[in-house]
Parts: sequence; structure tokens; C-alpha cells
Amino acid sequence: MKLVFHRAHPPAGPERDIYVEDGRMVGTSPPGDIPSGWEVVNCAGLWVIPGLVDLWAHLPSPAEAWREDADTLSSAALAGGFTTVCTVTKEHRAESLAGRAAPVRLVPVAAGTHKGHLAELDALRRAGAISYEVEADPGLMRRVLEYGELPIAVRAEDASLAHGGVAHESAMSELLGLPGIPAAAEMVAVARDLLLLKAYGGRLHFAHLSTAGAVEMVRRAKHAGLPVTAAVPIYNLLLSEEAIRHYDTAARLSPPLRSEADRQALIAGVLDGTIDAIVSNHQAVPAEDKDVPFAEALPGAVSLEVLLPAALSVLPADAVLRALVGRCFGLEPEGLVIFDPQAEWEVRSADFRSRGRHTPLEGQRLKGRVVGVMDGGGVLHKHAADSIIATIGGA
Amino acid sequence: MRHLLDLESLSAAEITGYLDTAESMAEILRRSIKRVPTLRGKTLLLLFFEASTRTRHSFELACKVLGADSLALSASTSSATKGESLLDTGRTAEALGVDGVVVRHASSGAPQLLARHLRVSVVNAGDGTHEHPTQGLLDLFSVRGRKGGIAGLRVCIVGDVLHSRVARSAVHGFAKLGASVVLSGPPALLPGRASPAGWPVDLEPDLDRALDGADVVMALRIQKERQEGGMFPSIAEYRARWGIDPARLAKARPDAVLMHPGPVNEGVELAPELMTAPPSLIADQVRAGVAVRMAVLYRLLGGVGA
Repeated sequence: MKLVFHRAHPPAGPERDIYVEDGRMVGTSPPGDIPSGWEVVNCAGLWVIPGLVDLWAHLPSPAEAWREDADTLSSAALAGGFTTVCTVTKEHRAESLAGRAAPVRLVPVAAGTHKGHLAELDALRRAGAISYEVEADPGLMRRVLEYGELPIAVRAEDASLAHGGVAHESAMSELLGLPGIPAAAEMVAVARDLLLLKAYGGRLHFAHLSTAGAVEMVRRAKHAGLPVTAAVPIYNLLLSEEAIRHYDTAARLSPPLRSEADRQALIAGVLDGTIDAIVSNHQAVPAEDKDVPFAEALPGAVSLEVLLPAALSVLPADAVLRALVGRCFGLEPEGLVIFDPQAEWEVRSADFRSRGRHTPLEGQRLKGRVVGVMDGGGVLHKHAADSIIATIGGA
Repeated sequence: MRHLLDLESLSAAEITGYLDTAESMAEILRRSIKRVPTLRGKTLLLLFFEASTRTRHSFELACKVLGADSLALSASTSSATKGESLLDTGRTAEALGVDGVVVRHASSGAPQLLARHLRVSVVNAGDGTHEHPTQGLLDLFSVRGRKGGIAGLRVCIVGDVLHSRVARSAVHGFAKLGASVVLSGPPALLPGRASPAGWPVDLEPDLDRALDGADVVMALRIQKERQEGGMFPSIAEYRARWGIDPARLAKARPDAVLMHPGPVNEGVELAPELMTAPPSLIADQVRAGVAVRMAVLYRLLGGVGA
């Protein structure tokens, strides 16, 4: 398949024609006449950017596929411009790991330990795991740092300090009468794991930071040359704890939405590169676990379909795109995304392709929308009416 | 105004409106025939997911006096299904045509959930560790009755403020009507350590200092599970530091009044001899319950203040 993305332009820069053959970019040129034999995708006024990479989306086990399965997750990813998604599984056996190729490459994050023992870490790596998690135990963390070859994904929440909490511990949680998760729960975990990293080597990736204190510790660790990377979930970047004021269970998230000062520190962390990635932390939660009082609701919200325009509402395009390329796990972007930076739309979760129906952005207006994706196999998926991306047969 | 979910979001005028209406209701309760037809034809569902004696009975009595029908439902709860059955029960009640739902629930925000999903009036009769607005109103009503007003008073609330819905409603109610509030108790049971700016109060863990100049002293019920949860060392140590006896109460102003939402752990948060001593407002608080709840039902269902 031979495609020309005609008059495509990056967020900043001149228009050009991008020639793609079977999913591979084979050349670019200033906009001009198209040679015969090429199908033309008219991208005038639209951005054409590399396929996005998400490092942290929750995929339920096959037994719970009714919450979300690989098909619905992929479909949601594609709608949001993601051609690669790292799926958080709890699988510690290599034979149970299921990756997936086009249209959306699903790359598993495995469980690196199970009931206090090391999983077969090398077998997990060979089976396609991109990273693994370690149970919350400093001794185990040490062993995996010493033994493993992949970066360890860390959720960074001290269980004892976070015990029973459902919201950021603050005047807000106290006024609402909700048990709090103190910022210290995250900072203690980050400090501990950074000390272990320094002592025993290996690589760490903080999968979803939410506090200013943790960002500052990672900043210092990076200056000291430690091999550490970090990510922030899109909603923690976008919203503060103010979103839970009326007990909106769509804003019950893990990590919790924190203070405005934390949010500003997370934005600054993305801007100066302390935070390497913006992640979806996408998690479909069924209505029966959300239409309940706040503290009884399960945490999680869906976000793949809103992430890119939502991130562009708080950060400049170059910082956003730099944070969606999969650098932390050494992934290369696949495919291309066509994005209409001017399109305005209202978030309606009923229209989502994910099975999840909960987002704290429900009803809000976003500017910018993914209108098409060329997946890693070179197949073009159009999301909008033909009038937006006119494909014209080869001249 | 369709719901009463909390005192935090009410204005001083709205709170005073409830208190003034409660005065008229108290007058009805002093008559020999305590019946008015004001809410005849209205039906209320009393949905109590937690045990309650005085709150539930005073709502039932309030309905009777105003001529409304009440339908009581004490739901026993299992933690796995209580949320689901809460909304389902609310929807069923709405379909049956009730005019209002009075709800008590162990989870903070449960009445807000009903208010968001139902079209009927919702009255919060205590939600988790959040608020208990009708208790807050009857506390204000009792103090106003004894002191003549609220503005300018110094109110000292003692005990497990962090887990007390009574304390939250009292803090907002007293602060909005112009009193100043000081909180005292074990540090792990006081709010405001993370960011004190969010609460309109002073914090003073030392009870003797907190009592200095107090016009109103409110003791809260201490739950044994807080001590078992490691939030303070022992009941004996609690009593020694934050228990109120006549000598302690003497640190407050000579005309100070003493309150407690009940039930009291006698000899722990309050010395037994204080229960019926002259400063005690505890009986007034119970008495005020019916009048205040009549006022709430009247203003929400009778179309006043809309």
C-alpha cells in the first residue's frame, strides 16, 4: 500500500508530503505534484505526527474481559491516536503473557514477583514483557534490581500510610469526611526505591507520580545520574482534588487527584524533562462500582480517547509529543496520527469505544481531535467524515 | 432549595431561616394537640442504613405532627452491596411516588449520590464521617435558645473531630453564624494537620487552654475502635487529657453551656455528674430534634424558601 500524506505539517513547521509504503515512511518532500500510483491523503490544516505510545493502561485478566478486553482497549487506543499501549497485567507466568500487533501493539507489563518470590524474569522478557512490577517489599525489590534486565515499574504508594484512603489527604478530604492518602505515602515509597536503586543498580520507572515531593526527588536522582524514569497520569496533570468536591466517583483515581501545587509541579516536571512520559492510567470500571458512595467506588477512569487534546490544553505541543513516544521503555513509535488541532468537541463517554464510561471530563469541551491513524501495519483508519480526510485515488 | 445535604454549602441566612421556622414548630409542640395538617398527603421514606434511635424517631415524630406519612426502611447492609442497594432503593422509592427521602448511611457522600440521581428531596440524616446537618441545626437552636444568639460566642469542640459528622456540621453552622470555634483532642483525631487553612477553626490540643474563654463546650463521643486503631494510646489516657469533669469545665466561662450529641460514654468524655448539671444542654438538644426536623421537612416539602 502506497500512501502520500499530502500537505501534512508537524505542530510547528512547514507543510510537506510524507510518502509511506506498507507502513514505512520512505520519503518526504515539500508539497507538490504526486507521482502516479500513490493514494493521496489530503492533510491540509492537519498535523501528522508519529503514532502515540501509552506506557500505562489497565487490561483486566481474560476472566474479567467484560470490563474491557484487548479489542475494546485497542479500539479506544486507536481512537485516541495510540498505536502502542503498555498493558498492566498481573501475570507472573511467561506462558500467560499475551502481546498483540497491529492495529494496536499491546505490550505487557508483567508481575516480576509472586507471593514473595521472583518470577521467571528472563522468561517474561523473552515472552515480550516490557517491564515488570515488584510486590511492596524492599528485600524483593533489591533482588529484582540485582537480577532483572528490564526497568521495574513502580506504583509508589506505601501501603501502611495509604491504608484505607480514597482521596488526597488534605483539608478537602477532611471536610468531605473521606479517609485520606497522604502525599507522604508516595514520597516514602519513591525515596525508599531510589535508595535501593542507588545501592543495587538496575533501572526504575515510576509509573504514575502524583506529588510535588516525588517529582523533586526524581529530579535530584536524575541530576545524580541514576537510571530512573517517571510518568504522570493525564488526569493528575489536568485536575486537582477540587474535582472530588461533590463526590464525583469518576474522579476517584489511583493515585488520587492531589493539590493544585502538586499539579503545577507535575506540569513543571514534564516541561523540564524530569517526568519523561504522560500516561493514560486508563481503567474501565463498571457502573455498579461507580454508582455508589465515593469511598465505596473502585478507583479508575478511562482516558485514552481524550488524552492528546487534554494534554495539549495544559502543555505546549512539543512537550506533549515528547512525553508520548515510549522513551522510558525503549519503544519506537509505530504508524502516524492525523490530528485536527482546530476541531472542538464535547466529551461524551457514551460515545467512547472503551467499555469504560467514567471520565472526570464528562461534558467538557476539548480542542483538537484525532481524525485518522495509520497503524504499524500501514492500514489507514479514518475516525471522522470523509470531508475531513479526503483520500483521493492515485492520480 | 430542594435538599438538605450539609451546612457547609448553606448561607447564614438559610441557616437562620431554618432556626426561625423551628421556633414556630416548637410552639406547635407546646400545644395540647400536637397536630397540624401542613404536610398532609406528603410521604417520606426514612432510609436508615445505620442504627439510630433519636434521629430516626424525631424524624418520625416530625412527620406525624405535620400530617405527613412516613415509610421506614432499616436496611441491614453488607459492605459489598450497600452502595448498589442504596441507589436501587432510592430509585424504587421515587417510582413509588414518595416526596422525600431521609437517609442515614455509613459512607460520606451517600445523600449526595441520591440527590444527583433522584428527583425527590433528599435530607441527610448523617453520612459517614461527613455531616449531620439536622444535628448541627438542633445544636445551634439549643444554644440560641439558652444564650439568645450565636454571633460572638466561643465554641470549644472536644474529641474525635476527624471522624465526627456532628462536629463538621457544628463547625460550619457556628462559624457561619459568627461564632469562633476551637478544636481540641488527640492530634490524630483533629483535622487541619495537612492544611489548616481549609477549616474555619483554631486548633488547640491542650484542653485547658482550649477551654479558656469558651461559652459553649461540646464533647464528642469517642469510639473504642479509634483507640484500637492506634490513634491514641488508651481510654484512660484519653480521659485524663480530654475528659471533661466539673474542675475542667471551670476553665471555661462561668456561664458556659455543655453539649454532647449522645449517646455519652459516661466517665470517659463526660463525668456522670455533669449530664444533668445546670450547664448541660443535653436534654435541650434532644428536645430540639423534633422541632428542627419539622422545620426542615416543612421548608423542603412545603414549598417555603424555594
